[in-house]
Amino acid sequence: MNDRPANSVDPKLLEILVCPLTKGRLEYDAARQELISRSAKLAYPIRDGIPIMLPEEARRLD
Amino acid sequence: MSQTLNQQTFGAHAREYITSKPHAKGASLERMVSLAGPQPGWRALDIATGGGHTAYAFAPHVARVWATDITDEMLTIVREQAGKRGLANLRAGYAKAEALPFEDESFDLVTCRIAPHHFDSIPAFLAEAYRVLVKGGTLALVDNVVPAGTVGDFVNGFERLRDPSHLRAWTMDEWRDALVAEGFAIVHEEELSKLMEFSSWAQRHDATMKRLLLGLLAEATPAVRDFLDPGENSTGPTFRLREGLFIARR
Repeated sequence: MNDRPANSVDPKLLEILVCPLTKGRLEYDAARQELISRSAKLAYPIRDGIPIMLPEEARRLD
Repeated sequence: MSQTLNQQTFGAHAREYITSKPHAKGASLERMVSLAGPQPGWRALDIATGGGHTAYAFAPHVARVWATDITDEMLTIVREQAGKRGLANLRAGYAKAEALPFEDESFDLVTCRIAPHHFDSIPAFLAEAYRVLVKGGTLALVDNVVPAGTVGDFVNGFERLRDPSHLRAWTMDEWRDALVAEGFAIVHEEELSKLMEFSSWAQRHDATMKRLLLGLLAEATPAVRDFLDPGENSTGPTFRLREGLFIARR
């Protein structure tokens, strides 16, 4: 389908993604394959290169 | 993972939507593309993409399409199909229509087709669509619409019995008012009639449920029958639904 590994997240998508709850910036944790919203204290998982931007799917940060 | 009713319903029936005629081939899809006037540089967002048909239709005309949905199975299918169709500029992501994970003014075009009647809140979806569109950006929207009053109530009830994730199809007036209230300028609107083949529409149900749904069609009051227009073709019983198409600018 494209020129990058199927399980990596598209950099162009990362540029425009924000936290769906706070609309705050996200940090990309490549090792854990998560997008971190500090403002919402949530980590959104990335599965097979698709960011799961649903708060109910996110991991809570303490 | 815990799933909402919508996720369960669409997860279980995801593959039906690839071939579903009203979704894949409906006249409103071509109308939507020609009326929206997509441009080669546009960044587009297709909300609640389902089988991905709207995203596939727009992808050849724009720079990039993000197809979003809340259902695993749907997004897997969209990625498969985008690959098969050679649409390298199509990307899939999870997002709920009422809480979009995109920066303000990220898109030139937002599309949403035959989906809002499943949303928890259509006004919240419209507010999010407005927020992520650039000023002057285009919203191209199609959804099932019903007449006002008791006929519309019956049609929504009939649809909900077949599919409990059908919350409520709006009237054209409701759409117009909500779009204007959100700040959109409506540049075009129209209603399209679509023929529904009962056998594929009700295929997820057993014989008892099919008889009940057919009974509702047969026993409906004259005003309801005027709208649903029950008939027959080579596939068996048919009826009609209507779609509202709106092109609006932020």
